[in-house]
Amino acid sequence: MIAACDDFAAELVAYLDGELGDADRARIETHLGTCLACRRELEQLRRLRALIDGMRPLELSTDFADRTWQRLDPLPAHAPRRRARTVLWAAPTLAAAAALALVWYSQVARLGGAPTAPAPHSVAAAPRAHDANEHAVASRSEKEQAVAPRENEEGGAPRDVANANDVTEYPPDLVEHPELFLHLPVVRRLNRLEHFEEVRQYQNDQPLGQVSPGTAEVG
Amino acid sequence: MLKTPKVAAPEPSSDPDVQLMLRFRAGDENAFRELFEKHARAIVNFAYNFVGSRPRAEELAQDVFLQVYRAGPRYEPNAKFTTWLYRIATNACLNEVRRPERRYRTRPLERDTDDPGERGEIALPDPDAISGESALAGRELEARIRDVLGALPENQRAALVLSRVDGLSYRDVADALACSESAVKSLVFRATATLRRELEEFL
Repeated sequence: MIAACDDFAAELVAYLDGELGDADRARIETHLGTCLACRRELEQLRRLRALIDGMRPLELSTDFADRTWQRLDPLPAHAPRRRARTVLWAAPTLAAAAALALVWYSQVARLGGAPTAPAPHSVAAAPRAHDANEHAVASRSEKEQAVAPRENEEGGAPRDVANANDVTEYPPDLVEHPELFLHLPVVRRLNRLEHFEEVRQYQNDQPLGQVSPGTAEVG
Repeated sequence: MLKTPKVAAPEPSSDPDVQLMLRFRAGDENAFRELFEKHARAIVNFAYNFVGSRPRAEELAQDVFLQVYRAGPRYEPNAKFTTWLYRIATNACLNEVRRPERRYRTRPLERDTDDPGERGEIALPDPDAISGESALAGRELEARIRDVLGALPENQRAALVLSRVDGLSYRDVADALACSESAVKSLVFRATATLRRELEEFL
């Protein structure tokens, strides 16, 4: 094979593999017709292919399939497994949404006597002591909050109905159009409630996110 | 220049193996069994050419089919099934041979470079110890071929085995190795040149 034939070296392998286009294959065959060295090279490549092709394929172990199925068996069928994943993901979300809806409905029911809500700034005369009580309740831990209604029932001062209806505790649009609130995603509902709480504290000249010390002892 | 297809490549959906995967995706476990029985031997042999150990090759093949099984619910027929299957198998084998604890088992015959001057030499057994023609079909020669194969750079070995042993087209090999067809052509040529040089006494 002369130096010029080096250009054909890579082509010969692809030629044998049947990977050349028509034009390149014709060019190679034309060259092979005139070049003894390249014909010998091609013959050696054919022998090498025969050696590789002559390698006996490995037979599978007799228990290979059984061992494979044993590894697959612990895996649940893919379709039920997919459904199970969906349920696992959805369950806490649905529970949280249901809990939030329940809390909100209970609050709206408590406000049932106020069909139309005045603007927050128009009810500035509402007793501030009650606001402080609400602050304290809101700042308690969940356990304390769970105990609070029982305290009221067992002799603590019952909620002032008038104060309980103080709609300044809720954004007006939520009172007027509760159905819109239910259409909000859970996160946005929480954001709306938190935002309103901050606005209310700001109107009361309280630092945001803080409760005045005197309000923590409400029973 | 590489061969250009005269007709458009067949749609993956016309591949019967793709149809089996779609049936498996729909929940037909028997379709997966059919695919396993059809391709398990080829995948074990493909892995064997990488790791040179039957138990490890079978374990790797099991890993491959476990991946196929797990991917079933989200399978999308974007390519021929065998191309996808060999892509998984190639990645599994490359990950295996690249594990640090296995590096000592593969001798670096040559670096993965285009520079032929950087090629090394492979330590083969004395060819005189093998008795000419009769050895061609013998186990010793086969072991020597596997030794040479095992000493090839990983991507050359993968390209040669996929195209020569498993019969994939350069295009399918390119898909499996995530490279171009011209790169596959170069890899196969360099792997073939090394085998030809190392096994010259038997040619």
